[in-house]
Amino acid sequence: MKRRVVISGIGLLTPLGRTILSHEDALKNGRTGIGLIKSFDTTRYKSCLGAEVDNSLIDKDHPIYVDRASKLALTACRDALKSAMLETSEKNGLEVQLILGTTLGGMLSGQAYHRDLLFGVDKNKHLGILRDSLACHQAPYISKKLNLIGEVLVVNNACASGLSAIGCAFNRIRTGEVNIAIAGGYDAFSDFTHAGFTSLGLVTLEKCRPFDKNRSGLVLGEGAGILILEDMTQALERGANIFAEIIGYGQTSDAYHITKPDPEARGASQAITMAIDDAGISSEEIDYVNAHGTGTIANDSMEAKALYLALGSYGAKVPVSSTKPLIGHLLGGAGAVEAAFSVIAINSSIIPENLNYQTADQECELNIVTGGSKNKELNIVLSNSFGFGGSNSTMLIRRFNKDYD
Amino acid sequence: MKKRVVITGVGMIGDFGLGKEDFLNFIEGRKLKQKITEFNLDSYIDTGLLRRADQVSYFASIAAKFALEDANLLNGAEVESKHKFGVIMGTVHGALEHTIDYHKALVLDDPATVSPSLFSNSVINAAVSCISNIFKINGYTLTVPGYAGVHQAVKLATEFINNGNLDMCLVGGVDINNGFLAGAYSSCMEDNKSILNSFGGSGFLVLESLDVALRRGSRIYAEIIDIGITSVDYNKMLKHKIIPIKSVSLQNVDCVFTYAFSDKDSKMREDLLLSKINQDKTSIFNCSDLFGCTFAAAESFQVILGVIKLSGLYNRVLTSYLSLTDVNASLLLGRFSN
Repeated sequence: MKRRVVISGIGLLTPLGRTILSHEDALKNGRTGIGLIKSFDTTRYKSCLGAEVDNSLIDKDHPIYVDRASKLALTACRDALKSAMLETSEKNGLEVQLILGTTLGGMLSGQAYHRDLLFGVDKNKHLGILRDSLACHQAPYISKKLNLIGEVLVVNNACASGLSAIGCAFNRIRTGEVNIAIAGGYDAFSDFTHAGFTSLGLVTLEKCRPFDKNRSGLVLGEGAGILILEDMTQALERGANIFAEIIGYGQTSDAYHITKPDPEARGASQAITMAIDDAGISSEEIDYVNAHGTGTIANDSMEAKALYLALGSYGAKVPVSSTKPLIGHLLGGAGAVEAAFSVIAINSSIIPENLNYQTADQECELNIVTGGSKNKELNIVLSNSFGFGGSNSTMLIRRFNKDYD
Repeated sequence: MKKRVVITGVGMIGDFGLGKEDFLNFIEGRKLKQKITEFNLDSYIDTGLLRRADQVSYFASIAAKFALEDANLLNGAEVESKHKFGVIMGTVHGALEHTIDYHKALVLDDPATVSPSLFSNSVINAAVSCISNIFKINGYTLTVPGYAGVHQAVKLATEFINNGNLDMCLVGGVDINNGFLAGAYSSCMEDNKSILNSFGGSGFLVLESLDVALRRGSRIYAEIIDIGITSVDYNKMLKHKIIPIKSVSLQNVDCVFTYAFSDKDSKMREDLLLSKINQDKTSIFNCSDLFGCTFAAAESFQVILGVIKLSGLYNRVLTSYLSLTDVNASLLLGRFSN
């Protein structure tokens, strides 16, 4: 029999702050963390909007060469462990798996190395920096800092990486491979990604307005979202504070195009269907959908189609909102942060507003949440996360009740 | 009940050439027909589907194609549910060439004029996306960036098949060395010459649920018995008595294929692992010497070598991969018996 998997800790470091309360407040009041980009010169770019983390919120106990991505993720990991009442110390290691998703790893270090090289700075001066730019270097650094004993796994599934990492942890705990895991995603903001998404015509010059007829693209952001996933029995035995339960997960690939989603939404709808089947619930039991909703033309119409296909007529009724107008698109961090937002929505009984939505689009005829956040008791939330290469991950999260079957 | 997982196909491309025959000739020390750099890769795969792709996507796609052919999964062989076929691949450096080119273009040119395909083909999951697109694989797709990324990919695929999330999965690794890497690793490795001397490449395996393999009448190379992965250094290994494989005594292994990076800690962990093995009755192959420092390429070749050698000579084979960032991975393969 499959074990039940609960969320017993949350760590968030985003443009909205570092505490669960600051994020709850932002979701309730529609406070956005998007502003003018401060971390690099934007004069060469058309768009100057981004969602950056306040430097004062990031833990500072790092050697000088450590990439910002490691710092963001480590800070969120520490907060997640603290909220789960799990302690590590130099003396006593913690037996736990660390499973993290990232899209770009330590890209800022990569930039610094290559720029130095191009401008003739002695490359031997910064040899460690190139290694630190690799996506496989942040998680081992975190594991060492936290004195963890267990497998360290990094997964990349483009912008669905964070939710895919949580999906891997969910599967491993459910099947008894492991009792507890630190899982989530992260990415740091860089001009490399800003330029890349701009070159693909995906970055908006104005507000990010998912599912709106006049939507014109996304705004990039940075941050980390970390969840502590745990076998329910163990969590109850140690008296952990249980935030919510993960009840289903689905993952597919479009096999369609390296960047564009399948306009017929076959892969995304299949992922949603898989998650529903996995959870053993009916579509109508879903109270709210936290959409991937990037604000790009292709993603949002595809996602709307996926919801119709997977949920049938209920797809037009279930409340849907994207929280990306609040935090931007956090790439590898997006799926994990948005899963945490789904948990916050359940526990504070609010459905966040789809900020900046003005004009309905007939290709996205969904029940978009507008006019401020709504107060509603939520039992089950669906969280979608999609990415380049047709990566589709989707998760069902339920209010915790130990008496459920 | 867990589904049993078997290996039914292998494919590879590297310094030794291309495909199983070249690989075996290289292992047996026979002269190669030609080296990989002399091949016209376009004749092996539809280049239209890999337009503007990085070299790693080319190499990975070709190795994947060979593995699918070997498993008789090309040319109309049907997969029962297309969402139950996945692809999971390990890599350390990913599309490094395109990443470097993109950085250069951003610094030296106007960002508005930089080709968008340079960015989209430099992302870490580009190679897996190419494989998924070319071979229409609709199930789980994941890239595992890591020094034991191939073993971790095998572990994930095995778990997904064990649980019924997948029926079959392409699993492999890719890495291609370039001039940057020797410098980048010089501070932590005792000998980085092998980075300069090795080109890298890609290797893939087809993993299947035993039920599906038997139903399809597949030729079965080996069965996956166990996989263990830890991320601890030598001192922690000693203190906590950690050995990656728990389910089978290492005394009962016929052959061990080891790979250790040339840093001090990796070698100490390798010595520790080998000390648990009865070296009088167990054959030991050193894969670091054989495949050089080619990261996920070498790791994929190590696993494939274990699979091929097992099917001819041994009953139980262990691949042991000990690497930077304190990764210790072991895969236990068994001769298939129904």
